[in-house]
Amino acid sequence: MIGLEHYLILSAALFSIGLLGSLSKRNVVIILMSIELMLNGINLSLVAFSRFLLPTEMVGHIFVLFIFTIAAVEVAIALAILLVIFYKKSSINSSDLDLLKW
Amino acid sequence: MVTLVFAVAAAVILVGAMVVVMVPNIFIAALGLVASLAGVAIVYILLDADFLAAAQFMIYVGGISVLILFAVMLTAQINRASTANRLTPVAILISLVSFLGISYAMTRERWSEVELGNVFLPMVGSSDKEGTYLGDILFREFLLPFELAGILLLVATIAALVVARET
Repeated sequence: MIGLEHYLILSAALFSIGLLGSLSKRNVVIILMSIELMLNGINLSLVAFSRFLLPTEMVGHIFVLFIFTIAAVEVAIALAILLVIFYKKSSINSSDLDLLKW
Repeated sequence: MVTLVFAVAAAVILVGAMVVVMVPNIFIAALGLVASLAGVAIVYILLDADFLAAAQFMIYVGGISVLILFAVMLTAQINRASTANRLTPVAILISLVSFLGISYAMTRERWSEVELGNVFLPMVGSSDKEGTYLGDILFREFLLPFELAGILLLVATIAALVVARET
């Protein structure tokens, strides 16, 4: 029988894989994808908590809906910024973006 | 049956996520992301969150994946591999510690789970109940955050247009 712990461990694994990707990759697009993976792991744990601990309130569902909105906004803005960076520097490796480093 | 579906969905999610992190080809990484997000939608169905599963398919699989594929096509040199940086062993260590710590902290606690047999679930039963209930509390108790999210979407659309036009 699948209980709350299984969903929580799955969400922790998804979050950690996303953390690994966002820490270890050079390409900014891959870092963006890894952030999406981390957000999905958090969503999974929120829905699991809402289903198993407070099934009549559904507050976790509301949180997940707002996280959907934030994720869509974040990807749209990030795509615009990435395009500008790519036109200016013709590279989207994070190690090339050292304008603020001294 | 639920166990089997959960195992398959978890395998799809984790393999897709590992493809995103490991594979050097960026386009294949984007396809792995799509697989992982679809697996998350299946797990939402297992958790009786039908509306969220539909929203996950529409927003993530339909919208965000297309945006990321646009980013891949427009910027990345696909045949050039996306390499890992010098800190990869440290990153592996950090993510391993994070996984073990989070799962230990979450499973050590004895959660007082509600017995699902004798409680009224708004989303179980007729399938349109969940959406009705969700809309009810969304427009009653969470009205201000809902309006703020709408304003945020408008501002983000204008901002993306302005930033992308600056080239």
